Amino acid sequence: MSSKVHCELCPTECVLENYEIGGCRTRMNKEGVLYSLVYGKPCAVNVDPIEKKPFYHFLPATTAFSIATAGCVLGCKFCQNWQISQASPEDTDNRELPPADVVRQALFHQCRSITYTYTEPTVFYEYMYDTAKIARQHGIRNTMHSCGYIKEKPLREIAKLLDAADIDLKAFSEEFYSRICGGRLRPVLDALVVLKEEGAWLEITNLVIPTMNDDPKLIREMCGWIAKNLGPDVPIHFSRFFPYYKLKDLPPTPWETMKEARDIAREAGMRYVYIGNIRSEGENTYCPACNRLLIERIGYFVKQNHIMKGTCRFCSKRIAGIWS
Amino acid sequence: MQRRAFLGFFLIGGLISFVKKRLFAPNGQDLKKASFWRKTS
Repeated sequence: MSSKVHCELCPTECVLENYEIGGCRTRMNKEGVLYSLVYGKPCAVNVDPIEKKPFYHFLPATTAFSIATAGCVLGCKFCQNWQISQASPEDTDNRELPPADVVRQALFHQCRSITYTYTEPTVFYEYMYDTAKIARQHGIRNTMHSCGYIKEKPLREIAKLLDAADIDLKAFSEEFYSRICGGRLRPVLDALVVLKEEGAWLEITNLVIPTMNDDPKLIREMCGWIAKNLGPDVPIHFSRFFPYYKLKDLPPTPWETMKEARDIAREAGMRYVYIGNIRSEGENTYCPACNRLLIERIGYFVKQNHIMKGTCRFCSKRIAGIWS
Repeated sequence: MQRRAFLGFFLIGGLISFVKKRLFAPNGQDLKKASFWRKTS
């Protein structure tokens, strides 16, 4: 009898021989049973401002207890956390932190939410799921920052425990996903629609990389798809690229490119468009009705907030998001 | 007598280490069974 197993967590769908480890580096076939190698073994544990995730329309000025294990389902050449995402669990410095302890620590640090982040939470799916379940029982919200490269069934299950998700939409191009990330675009678009259907608060991050995905036509297509399929209230974060990992030969994204991306998104009808990884007024939230400044941010910190009970303090327009 | 005590010391030490690793490993085990997979023929 064969002891091969077929992993059905992410669209890569690895078929693993006995004692073989998946492409994510975190799941191993041991005598016909698939095991997680990272359950309860985070390599990154921090208390972060929620703005760092980035979530700009979800409990502003609160802290998120943030965890990650080694591994990733993709292999992006521009990864900003490659030291842990492109590493195996035996190569990272891990802690023993079972789900109940994660929640206990989040409560101790008075965090309103737990974020599964830094690397790719799909690779520590079982750990995230069990932690999220306990967190819910204690009134702590769950959020994830993910590349969205996950199959529908596991996503629908975890989405029921998620209050918010920030998905990296890396480019609106199958060719880019295949050549630069080692994945496909279609499953990510499907995941975005599933998250919307399941009712999780959604924000999208797009890292703008000079010459790779900064073509205005590509950005226009992406924003058009978001407006049509997810609606104009989904915040888009255009994040500035810095040369890391395998794309060290490229310069940081120029300010003009970032501004152009924001203009394109606004033209497509998107109401909340941000520029990140660079200090500017692009970090602030403005009312889409009266254009007044609602949330002023400096880096990850909120300087002023004029959103009252989910509405603009000046004109009473409802501002999409989770505010309390 | 001294030799027996020496051997006994190491045997007991080894036994304690084995029991500690097997029974009192963090989370009670080293690996967690994953979800979303199937056996292939």
